[in-house]
Amino acid sequence: MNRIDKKFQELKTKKKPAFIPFITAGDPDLQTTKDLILEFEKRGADIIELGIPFSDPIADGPIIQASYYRALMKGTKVAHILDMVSEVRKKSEIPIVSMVSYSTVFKKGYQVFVENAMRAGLDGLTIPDMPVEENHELFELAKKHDFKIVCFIAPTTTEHRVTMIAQKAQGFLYYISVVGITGVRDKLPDDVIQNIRKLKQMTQIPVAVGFGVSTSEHARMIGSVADGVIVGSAIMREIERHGKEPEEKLIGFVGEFAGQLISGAKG
Amino acid sequence: MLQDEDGQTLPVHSISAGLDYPGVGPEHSYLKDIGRAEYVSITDEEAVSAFQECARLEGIIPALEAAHAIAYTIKFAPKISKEKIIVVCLSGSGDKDSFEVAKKLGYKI
Repeated sequence: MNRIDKKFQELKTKKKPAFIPFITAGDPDLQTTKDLILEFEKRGADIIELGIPFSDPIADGPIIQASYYRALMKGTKVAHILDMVSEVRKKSEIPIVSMVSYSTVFKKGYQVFVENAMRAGLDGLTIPDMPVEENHELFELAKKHDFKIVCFIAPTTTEHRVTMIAQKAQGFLYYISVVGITGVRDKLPDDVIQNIRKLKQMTQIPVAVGFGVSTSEHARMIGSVADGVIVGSAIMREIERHGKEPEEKLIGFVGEFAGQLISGAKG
Repeated sequence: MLQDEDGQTLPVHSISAGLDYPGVGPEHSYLKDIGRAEYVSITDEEAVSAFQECARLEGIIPALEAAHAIAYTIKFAPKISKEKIIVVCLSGSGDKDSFEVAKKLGYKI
């Protein structure tokens, strides 16, 4: 069974939401990324969303864009990232889903990209710039291999499209809490809880919520209704803040911050 | 698109802002593939020189994008008969580029 499915089953019996930290692979370097994944797991994270840096991201705000830029300037390549994932797999079975741009998948070809990803130990992909109407081939391929293509739903997605996406969805649905791009926000939209409840009624598949989730209070609020809480920019901001410090110090600070979010999410 | 092996967009350069772009649209790609159009390149220096020639000889300040077309015309015209007619699309005015050209030529304005 795919690690993502297994994890959500496990959490369902515990009646706890999944905590899903996002980190950019290669910022400040891949060794730190690997150690952060293990640290997050130790602190109680359930699934890792691993960002594959891209030169022209469409869904990311300034914090994640800057982290992509730093990672790319260091020469981070997809092959190095997959090697790092294989290293993580020697020590951990935590589910890892990679956020990747379609350009990167297309350049390799679906078949080769998915095979390489699976061999390294990834459990799924989210591809923010790939419309659901265009991904039939990739979906079928993923289904055959029990690999997961995680789809997005935004507050602006029409009911008709929500139904269509929910039918195709694999692993979990990624609900975007705000209209816009990723980033740290003081306040989540007023209707977010209501929107998550509505979406959960329309599908059997777990619903994880991200974009703008920045504090342990946000995590608590989202975790009380959703099946998963995703935090990206707020964590990447901590990594940026401590990026030039020795690795153990960075891991300490960022791990501590993630720990607070986890306590919030798990209530 | 100009890309590396991971599909990352590669950095590009042109003195002309309109040409400083890493991709080619599907229509031009198609015209090239069916052999209907031929595409050539011009250096920054050749474009600036054509910009000056056009202003001096015609009293027209071409946009740097169009200056590339003029630069190629200057290279190409001597190779064909004087009787042939050449049409150049002068796609914009170069007033917007005067600062860039001055910088390239070492003038302070």
